[in-house]
Amino acid sequence: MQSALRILVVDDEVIACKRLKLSLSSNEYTVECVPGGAEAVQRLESESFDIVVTDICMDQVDGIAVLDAVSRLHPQSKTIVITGYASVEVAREALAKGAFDFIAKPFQPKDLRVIIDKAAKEIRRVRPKDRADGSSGN
Amino acid sequence: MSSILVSSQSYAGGPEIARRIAEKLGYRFWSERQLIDEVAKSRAIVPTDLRKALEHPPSLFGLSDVVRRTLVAHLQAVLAAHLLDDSLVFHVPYAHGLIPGVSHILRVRLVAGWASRVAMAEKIEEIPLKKAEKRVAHDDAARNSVSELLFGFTDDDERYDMVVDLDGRQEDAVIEEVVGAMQSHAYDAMTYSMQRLRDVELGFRVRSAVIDLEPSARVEADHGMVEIRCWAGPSRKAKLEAEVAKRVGGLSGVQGVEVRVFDDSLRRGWA
Repeated sequence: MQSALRILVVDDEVIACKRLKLSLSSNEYTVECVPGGAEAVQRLESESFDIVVTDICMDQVDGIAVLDAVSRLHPQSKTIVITGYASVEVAREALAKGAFDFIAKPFQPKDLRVIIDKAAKEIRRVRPKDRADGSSGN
Repeated sequence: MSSILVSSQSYAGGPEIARRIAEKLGYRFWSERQLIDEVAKSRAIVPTDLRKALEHPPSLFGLSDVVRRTLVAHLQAVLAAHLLDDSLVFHVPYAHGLIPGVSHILRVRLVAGWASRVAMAEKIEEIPLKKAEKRVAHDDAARNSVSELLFGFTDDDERYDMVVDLDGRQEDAVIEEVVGAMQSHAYDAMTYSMQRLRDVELGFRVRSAVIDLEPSARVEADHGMVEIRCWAGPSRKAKLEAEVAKRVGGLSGVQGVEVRVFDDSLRRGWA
């Protein structure tokens, strides 16, 4: 059996973070939450995550900056962007910067789960034997 | 699932370039004529009327605004349904207005210089220079006024995602530029844009289904929930509300309907 993939959830709404953690945590995924973009970039500088789920609108360091950090530090990671202020321009910017997917709030947890499962499938397809020893890939 | 809508000025050579873009990307190509024929067939309307709705400027003895909007509503419904199904390149007028706000649909405008368009008009139509100039000027003015009538804005370059000037450029280079944009990932389909397209498609399909009941109907769809706003006189209000709700409730993908009929004494529906 493959080891759990690591997910970093970035959202400055603490309740949203908790809800996402609750709905995504499983045998397949271990979920860590941070309450803002600055904290996310700090975590990404010291560790890698398989999947990063980030809100766009956050004070100081926004989701696009988090996406930039993921692309720069861990290009193999998949970033899923969530936002309550979706627009054509932002969606295109996120995808051009390498986002795996983009979803507008409000959404059902199962909708995000479908996207995460899709990202996980792609990660496992590309590196099927990765994490077999349970390492975090740092 | 990304698609491209290509609009071009008349006599700019747009259809052929659009076809070659489709070929290069491996997308299916639809010409304006094919789309019009398909809409006409599926809605039992006369293709010539639809062509007039797209090409002829408003005039005293031409199509009424109501008929024009009705015909174009049917066209939008058919176009959106196809865009949900496949990766396509359509050569259509008004790409900037027909399908609003879907990030995986690239809306391209191909423009060419006045002299080259006039020369092309002379050659294709076998008409003298003066007539060719008049034809091209007429086409531009017509396109602007029809666009203004249908969408509330002219055939303005800034409304397109990409404007490509064909003058002095090799066709291959133009095709590469558009294909390159599609390969940048910015126009990739994503969860948000697919949902947006589903909403747009449902909204157009609903509007197409009720427009004969009330041409002023405005429709918004969001995850299967449909809101319809119409304008009618007090005597017609209740009946219209019931008829619209009944007709829309039976359409696939509709999970809920809210019909709001406003007093039309000031004809605000067309404002």
